[in-house]
Amino acid sequence: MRTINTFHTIAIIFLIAFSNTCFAQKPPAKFGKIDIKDLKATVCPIDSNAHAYFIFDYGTTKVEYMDQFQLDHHHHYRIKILDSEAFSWGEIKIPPYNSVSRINAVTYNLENGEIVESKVKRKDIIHEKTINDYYTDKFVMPNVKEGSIIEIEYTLTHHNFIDLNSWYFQKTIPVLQSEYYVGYPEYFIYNKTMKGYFRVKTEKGNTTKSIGSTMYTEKGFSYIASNIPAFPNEGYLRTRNNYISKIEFELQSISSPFTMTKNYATSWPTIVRNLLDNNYFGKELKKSFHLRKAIDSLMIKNSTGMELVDDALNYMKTTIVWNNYYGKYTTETLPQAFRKGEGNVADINLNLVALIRELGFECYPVVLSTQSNGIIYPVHPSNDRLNYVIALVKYEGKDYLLDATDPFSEINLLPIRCLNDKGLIVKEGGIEWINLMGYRPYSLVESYNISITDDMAFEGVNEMKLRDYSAYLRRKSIKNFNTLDEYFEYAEEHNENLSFNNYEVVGLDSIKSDMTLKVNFKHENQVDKTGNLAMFSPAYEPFYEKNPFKLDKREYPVEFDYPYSVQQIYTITIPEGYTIEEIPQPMILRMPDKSAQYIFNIKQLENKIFLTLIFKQKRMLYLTTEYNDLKAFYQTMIDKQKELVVLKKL
Amino acid sequence: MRTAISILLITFLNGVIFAQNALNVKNIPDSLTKHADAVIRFSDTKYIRTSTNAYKVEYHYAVTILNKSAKSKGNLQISYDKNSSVSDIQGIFYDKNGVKSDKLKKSDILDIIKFSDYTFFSDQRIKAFNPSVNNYPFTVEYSYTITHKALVGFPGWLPINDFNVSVQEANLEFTTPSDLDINFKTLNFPTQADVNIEQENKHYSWNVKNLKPIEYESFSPSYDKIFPTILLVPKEFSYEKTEGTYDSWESYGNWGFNLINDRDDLSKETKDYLISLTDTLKTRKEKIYAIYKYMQGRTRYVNIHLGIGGFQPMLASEVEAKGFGDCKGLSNYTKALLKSIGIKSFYTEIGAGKHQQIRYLDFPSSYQTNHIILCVPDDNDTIWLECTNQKKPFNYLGGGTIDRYALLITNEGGKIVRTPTYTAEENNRVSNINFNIHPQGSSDFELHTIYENIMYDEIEGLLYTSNKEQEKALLKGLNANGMKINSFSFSDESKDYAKAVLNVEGSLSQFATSAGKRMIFTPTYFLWNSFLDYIPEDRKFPLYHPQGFTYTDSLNIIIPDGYSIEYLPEDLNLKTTYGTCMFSFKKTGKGIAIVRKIRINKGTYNKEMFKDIDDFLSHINDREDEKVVLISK
Repeated sequence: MRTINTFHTIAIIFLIAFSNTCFAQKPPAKFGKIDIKDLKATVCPIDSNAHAYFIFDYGTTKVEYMDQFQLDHHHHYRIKILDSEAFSWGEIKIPPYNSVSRINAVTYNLENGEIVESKVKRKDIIHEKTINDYYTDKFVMPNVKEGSIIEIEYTLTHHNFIDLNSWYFQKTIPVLQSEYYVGYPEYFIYNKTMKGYFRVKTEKGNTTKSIGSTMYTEKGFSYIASNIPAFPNEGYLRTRNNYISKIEFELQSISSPFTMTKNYATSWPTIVRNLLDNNYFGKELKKSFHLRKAIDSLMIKNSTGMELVDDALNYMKTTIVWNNYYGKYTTETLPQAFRKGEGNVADINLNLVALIRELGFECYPVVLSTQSNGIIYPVHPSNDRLNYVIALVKYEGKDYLLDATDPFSEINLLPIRCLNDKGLIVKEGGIEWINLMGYRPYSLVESYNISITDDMAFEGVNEMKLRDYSAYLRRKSIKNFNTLDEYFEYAEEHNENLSFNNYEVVGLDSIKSDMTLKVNFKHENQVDKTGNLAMFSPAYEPFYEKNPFKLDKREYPVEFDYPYSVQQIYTITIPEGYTIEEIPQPMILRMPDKSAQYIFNIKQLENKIFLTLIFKQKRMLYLTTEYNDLKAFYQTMIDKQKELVVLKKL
Repeated sequence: MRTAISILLITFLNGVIFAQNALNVKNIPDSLTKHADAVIRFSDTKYIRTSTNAYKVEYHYAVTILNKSAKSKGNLQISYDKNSSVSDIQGIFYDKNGVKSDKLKKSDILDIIKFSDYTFFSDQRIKAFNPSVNNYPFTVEYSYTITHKALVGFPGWLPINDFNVSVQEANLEFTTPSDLDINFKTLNFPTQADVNIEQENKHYSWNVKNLKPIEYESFSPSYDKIFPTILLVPKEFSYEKTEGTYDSWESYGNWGFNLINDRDDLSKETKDYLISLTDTLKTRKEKIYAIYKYMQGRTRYVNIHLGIGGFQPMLASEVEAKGFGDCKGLSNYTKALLKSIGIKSFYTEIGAGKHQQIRYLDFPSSYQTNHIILCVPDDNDTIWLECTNQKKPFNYLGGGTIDRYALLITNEGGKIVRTPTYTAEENNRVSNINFNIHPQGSSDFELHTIYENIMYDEIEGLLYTSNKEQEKALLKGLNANGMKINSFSFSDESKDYAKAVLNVEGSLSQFATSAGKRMIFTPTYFLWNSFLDYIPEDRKFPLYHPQGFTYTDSLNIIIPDGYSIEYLPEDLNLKTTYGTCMFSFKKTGKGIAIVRKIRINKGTYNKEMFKDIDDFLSHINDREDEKVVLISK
C-alpha cells in the first residue's frame, strides 16, 4: 500500500508513446488517475439500488500481424464498490487467452482524506490451464471495502482471430461509461450486430499501418454508450441474450496479399451456399447408402404420406441417441453416426433429412438458433448464430418440422429449446425463412366429477385429455419415475389428504401427442364447516393457482413458449342434508386486445353445481407496456378461482 | 477342424454374454428398484496404505440408471489435486439387458478445474465423462485408481451415496502395514469388520448386500443418522512435512496448533493502533466488540483451497495487508488482533450445518469438522465470534454452529467444548398484523415482525440487500395472495443479542371473498411455518428439530361497516412434548382480534410419537385454515 503522489502521474503523461493514429483510440482514462469524487461517492448516480457500478469499462480489440494474424485485446475498467453485497466483484477471472502480457490491478480506498492504493502482486495471481492452449488468470483484489474503487487492466492475445470478442455495454450492475474500439486490417470484413435497448454512438475511421514494408489501412470502429442500467434477472424470459445491450462480430471474409480470399459468411445466400457445400453438412446429405436397410424396413409397413414421414421420424429417434450436444455440423459422417447409434443434433437430424428424402419426400434441413442462444436477426447474416438443425418436410403444400433428438417430440411438436422465432431453410435457389413457433398449443381438456361425501371430502373421477405440449410435458414428467404407480404415489405423498386409485393412462408410450389420463381420487378436508354453513371453492384444481407475475414493474418483455388452451369442467354433487345458499357469479375476462381470455361459468341445478373454466392465451410475447394488464388479468383470474360456494344445513 | 473352431467361438461368445448378462437389469430384485432412481450393482473400494502419507485407492463399481432423475449418477467424476494422481481409468457401458454397448475412450475424458460456487481459489481438478444415453435403464461400469502422497484423513465410506439409490453389493477393504493402523467407526451399519493379519499387513474388510433406497424426508435427522457409513482415520498421518496422530482430540489439536503457531504477528503500527482504539474502553467485552467491528470493517470472505492452505491459515499480517481471507485466515487474524491488546482467544474447529458436526467424541477425526470460528474464553462470559461475515452480529454464531461440540486449538493440544444455545422461548418471531377490510373484500394491511436470536437467521440474508431486492423477496416470499406493497423497512437491531425488525404496509386484492350477503376469509399470517403440516403415514425417520422456537402472531382485523360476525373459530390450547399452541378468536369493537402462539421444542421425535404430533399439527392446520364468516346486517 502506498499513497499516490499526483506529481508522478503528471510526469508519466509525457512519456506516453507517441502515436501516428489519426483516429480516436487514445486510452480514455489513465490507469491510476482516480477522481477523488468517485471515491467519496456513496450511491450510484443512475441507480440508487446498485451495490456497485462500473465507473468506466473500456476495451480495444485489434487484429494484428505477428507471424500470423492474431487478436490483441486490451481491457481496462474501474468499478465502484458501494456495499458488502458487491464484494464478489473483487474476485477477478481473466477470460481464457493464449498469452497475457500484463495485468495491473489496484484497489483504492479513501483513508483520512487520502487515496490509499493496494496492488495485486504478481505472486498473488493464480495461473490456470483451462483447456488446450488456453489459460485463465485469477486473483482477489486486496482491501475491498464499502466505498472502494477497483481498477483492472490487462492485455491478452488470442490466436483464433475468427472469434472477435463480443462487447457487453450492459452488465448486471450499472455502467456509467462503456467504450469499445475494434480495429482490423482492410483485408478483413466482419459483420456487426448491435443488440439491446440503449443508444450506442458509433464512429468509423482509418489508420495507416504496415506489416514489414507493406502498408495497409486499419479500419477502426468505436462504440460509446453512457449510463446503461443494470440488466435484471426476470422469469418468463427465454434468454437475456436477446435483450442485453451488446455488439457481436462475425468474420465474413479475408482477402489479404498473403493469403487467398477466404469467405466465412457474407450474406444469407452465401451462408446457405456454404452449408450446402460444407463437408459436415450439405455434402454429408448426399450419403444415403447406409440407409438402405432402414428404407426397406419402413417401406414394409405400407404407410404413405405423412404417416410414412412419422415412421421415419420414430425410426431415427430410436436408432440414434442424442449425446446432448447441439450443433449444425456433423461430428463424424452420417453413416458413422448411424452405425454408432449416437450423435449430436446434426448427426441425427441430417440423417433424418437424408432418410426422408430417400423415401421420396421434399425435405430440407432448417438451421436455427436455440432459445438460450438468442434470436436471429435477418438483417445481420450470421453463420455462428445458427447452432442447431432440424428437418422440414413439404408435403401437399404444407410445411412440417421434425426433430429426432427428443424421444417425445413429434411432427410440428419441437422440443422447447427450438421454439425461437424463425429458422432458415437450407436449399438451392433463394433464401426462405420458416416460423418455428405456434404450430401446437398447450392443450388440455379435463373433467372433474365430484361428490361431496358426508365427511366433507371430495370424491370422484378426474379425466384429462392432454394434447400437444401438455401431453409432451406430462409424458416427460411421468418418465422421471420408474412406473406409473410411483408417479401417483409421489403425488399422494406430497398431499396429506389426497389418495388415488384405479388410474388409467392411454397413450403414455405412444408417439402421437394425444394422451388420456383417468383417475379416481379422494381428497379429504375440501369443505369447511362453520356453524351450520359449509363452504368450498368449486375451482378445485385450477390451471394457475398463483399469479406468476408478482412484481410491480417489468423491465423486459414476457415470453411464453406456446399458446394455451385449457378447459376444465366440474360437476359437483353436494351432500344430502344441505342446500346451496350461494354460488359465485359467472365472469368473462379478457385482455384488452382479446389475446387472452378467461371464462368462469357456473350454474346450479338441484343438488349439483356445474362449473366451466376456460383459459386461452394466443399470444406468446407481451411487451413491458402490457405488463400491468397481463398481471391484472392473472390476478383477477386467481381471485375469482378463490370464490366460494356456500351450503346451508337443512 | 472347422467345426472345432466354431464351437470354440460359440463357447467363447457364450462366456462373454454370460458375463455381461450379470448386469442385466432383470437381475435386480424388485425391492431394490422400488423408489430407486439408480441401483449400485456392485462397488469395490480398496485402500492400500504403504506409509504415513502414502496410500492408493482402487475403485471399481457398476451402477444402473433406472430413469432420467438419476442421469448424473452415470457420469464419471474423479477429483484429484497436486497431492494425488489418477490412473487406470476404464469405463464400459451396457444396455438394459446387460449387453455391452460401448467403451470409454481415453480421449473422451475431460480434465478440468473443479469449479464450485463457493470456492474461488482451488487446486482441485477433476477428470470427467458424461455418457450420452437416453434409453433407460442403462448401466455403467467404471474403475480407476487414485494414488495419494499426503494424508490428513479419509473421507467417510457411504455405500449408498444419495437418496433414491439402492445397493446390491458393496465392499470396502483396507490394507495397511501393521505398524500403521487405523481407527474406524460404523454408523447405521449392519455388519462388523472382518480383520485378518497377513504377515506384515493388516487387512480389514466390510461387505453389505441389498440396501434399499432411502427417500428424502424433511426435518429428518442429520445424514450420519440415516446413511450407512464407515468412518476411517489413520492412527498417524503426515501431510506436506507435518505429522500428527488421532490418538485423542488433544493430539489431533496438537497437529492443528503447529499449523497456526506463530502465524499471528502483526506490524507495530497495527498493534499501536489497536491499543489506541481500545484503550479508553472500559470493559473487556467492549474491547472485544471494538476489535470484532474493526475486523469486519476491513476484511471480506473469500473461499480459498490451496494445498496446505486447505488446513493452514494465511498469515495474520497477510490478511491485514490484503483485507481478505477464508474462515481460517479471518479467525486467525481476529485472534492476532485480540492478542495485540492482550486478550487471549482460541482458534476453534467446528462442524457447520446440520449434517457435519463433532458428534463422536470417542472418535477423533478431522471428518467431523469443516469450519473455523473464534472462542474468546472467560469464566462467566465466553464470547464466540464468526469471522467470515461483515454483518454478523457480535457474539452470535447462528443456527449453523450453535449448540454443539467444538475443538479449541490450544498450545496444549485440542480441547473439546460446547457452543452456546438458546431456548425455544428465546428464539422468537413476534408479529403484529393489522387488517382493514374493504366492502369488496380487498384489505389494507400492516405487518410488523421482530426476529430474535435464531429466528434472526430467517431474515439475515435480506437485511443488507437493496430496496429493490428486498421488495422482490417480499413479493415472492410472503404467503399472501394479490399483494401490493406500499412501503416496507428492514432493520438490524442486534446489540446484546441478534435481533431484526421487518415492517410492511400494503394491500391484498382479495383478503375476503364475497358470497351474497356474506364475506368469508381465512386469516393471513404472511410468514411461513418452519415445521411440517402433517406427518405422512409411512414416514421412516424421526422428526428432528435442532432448535426450538416460538411464533406469536396478533392479528387485529377491522371489518367493513354494516357487517357483523356470523362465525368465529373456537379457541384452542394444546400442550405436548413436541410443542404447545394457543389460538384465540375474539370480537372487538370494530372487528376481530386473533392471537396465534406456537412453540416447537427442540429434539428428535421417534415413530411412537408421530400419532400425537400429527394430531397436534392437524389441530394447528385446521385452525389456521378455518374460515371466519361475516354477514351484512
